[in-house]
Amino acid sequence: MIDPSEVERALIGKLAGDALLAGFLPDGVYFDLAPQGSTRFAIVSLSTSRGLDELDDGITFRAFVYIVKGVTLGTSGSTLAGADKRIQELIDRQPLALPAAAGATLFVSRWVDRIRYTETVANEIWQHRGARYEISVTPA
Amino acid sequence: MPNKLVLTGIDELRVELKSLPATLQAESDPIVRARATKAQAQIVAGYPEVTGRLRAGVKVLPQSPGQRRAAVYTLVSDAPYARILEFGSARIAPRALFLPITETERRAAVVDVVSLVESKGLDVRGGHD
Repeated sequence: MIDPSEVERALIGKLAGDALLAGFLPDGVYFDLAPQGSTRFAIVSLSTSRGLDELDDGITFRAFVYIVKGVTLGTSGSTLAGADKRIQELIDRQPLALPAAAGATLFVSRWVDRIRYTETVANEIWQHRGARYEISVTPA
Repeated sequence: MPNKLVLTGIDELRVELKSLPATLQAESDPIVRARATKAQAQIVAGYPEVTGRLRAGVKVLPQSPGQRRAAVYTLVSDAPYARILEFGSARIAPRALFLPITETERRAAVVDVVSLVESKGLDVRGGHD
């Protein structure tokens, strides 16, 4: 059985374990929400998912599309540009080590579309930059 | 012994084949429009209602399909807060709604149009998911 939680854990673990990305976003990598007080962090969040039942009446593969973005407080774009580039280097067309508990092997890991916007909240300017990435897996 | 094979109706068949793309395009349009409208309704129902701008900003815009496409409808969500809702803010988790619904209905529209084409006796091959 494919365990999506293990797929997510592997993705977050890969991002969190990268020293270069941590240099850009030292507050860490989080699913959905970062802790209060974080000002430079990465967010992973599920955007869409689907399963394809095409062969042998079983699951051929499952596709998970994740939002993966850097979020920083302030107007400077250089940190976020570096983080965005590094995230892409880590995920787009790259391997992802899935544990046996995931019940799956990686089929494709790829960039889908770009995310970039600026948010103003209570006189604070937050920048969001990243992409949606598809992680498709097949049953192990 | 001489044989003679006479095929009749070739001119009529040629006319039918020439008109087929236009016929399919015309018949595809309401199918695709129905999917777009269904997606719009689902998104509107799923959006929170505070000022009403978020829900009012979900629109279906018909586009010219050109000669090589069945039908094109663009779904937009143009309220300023729509992107924050979909992708999250610094302090609020993303609440993906627009993209999952539009992607599901877009795929369903393709399947519907393929069924229409196949109903005309044509074979559709290749990935169309």
